[in-house]
Amino acid sequence: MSAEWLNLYKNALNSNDAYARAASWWTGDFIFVVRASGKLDHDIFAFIGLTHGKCTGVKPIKGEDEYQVVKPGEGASSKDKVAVEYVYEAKYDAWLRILRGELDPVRGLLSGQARIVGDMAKILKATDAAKELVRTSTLIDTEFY
Amino acid sequence: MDEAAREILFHTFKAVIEDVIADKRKNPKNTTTLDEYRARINIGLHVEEEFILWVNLVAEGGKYVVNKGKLDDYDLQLISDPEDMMYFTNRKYSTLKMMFTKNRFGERRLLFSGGTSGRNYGKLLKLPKVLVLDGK
Repeated sequence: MSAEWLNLYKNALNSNDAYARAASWWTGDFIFVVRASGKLDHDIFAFIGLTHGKCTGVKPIKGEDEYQVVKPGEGASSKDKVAVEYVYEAKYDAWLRILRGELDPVRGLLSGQARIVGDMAKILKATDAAKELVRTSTLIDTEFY
Repeated sequence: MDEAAREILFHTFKAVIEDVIADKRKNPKNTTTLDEYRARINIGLHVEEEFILWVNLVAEGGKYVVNKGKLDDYDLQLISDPEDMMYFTNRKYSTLKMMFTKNRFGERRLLFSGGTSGRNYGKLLKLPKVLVLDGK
């Protein structure tokens, strides 16, 4: 998830009417974590800002020290950290399948191939938005490791 | 399904139950139902054709505790694909759809039976009031 890829993703998300509709009520930023596996020998972190059906910002993150999972409305304990409500994490091999549209992100979660940190009740109310969030990434011409 | 994936699924399912209960407690109308519901339930998470991950839910005194494995003494036993269970919890699938349509393995989306303490259909019928999220 290079800065270039993330910007393409932000533009694609902001052009996705289905996502805008499904997530019109949503507020809650994400960190996507790609854990090293297969051809990837290091972990990758990316911040995805999400508010009311729009992507408000994206940026690569160096590691776990740079973000903090907080409850809605709370800030991070340090100004060096970005506050997010959710972390969605999977190994590179699972992300590959997700990005190729072979693995539904919700099924990934409920088959132990991915994990999420954050309030599950809110996520459960937003499964359509979550699917569009991930489906959008499949629309980008991506170069894999 | 390897051990790491089983562990992740267990913790995801546990978080779902705990967060759904916490969300329902935000609505005072649910307080009595949540506090009075008592049940010991074995839940089989049917994740692969030939594999079911067993967990259990014990509801008593307003507390809901999820643990690994099956209870010897239980009131209900449920088996469902966790994905279907999630769509039941978020109101996408109705109780009827869960009971009468089939899942990706060709089984009914929700298989249920009584327990060592009897049929306990009352506890089964009250379960949606506990585990199904209120509307947005």
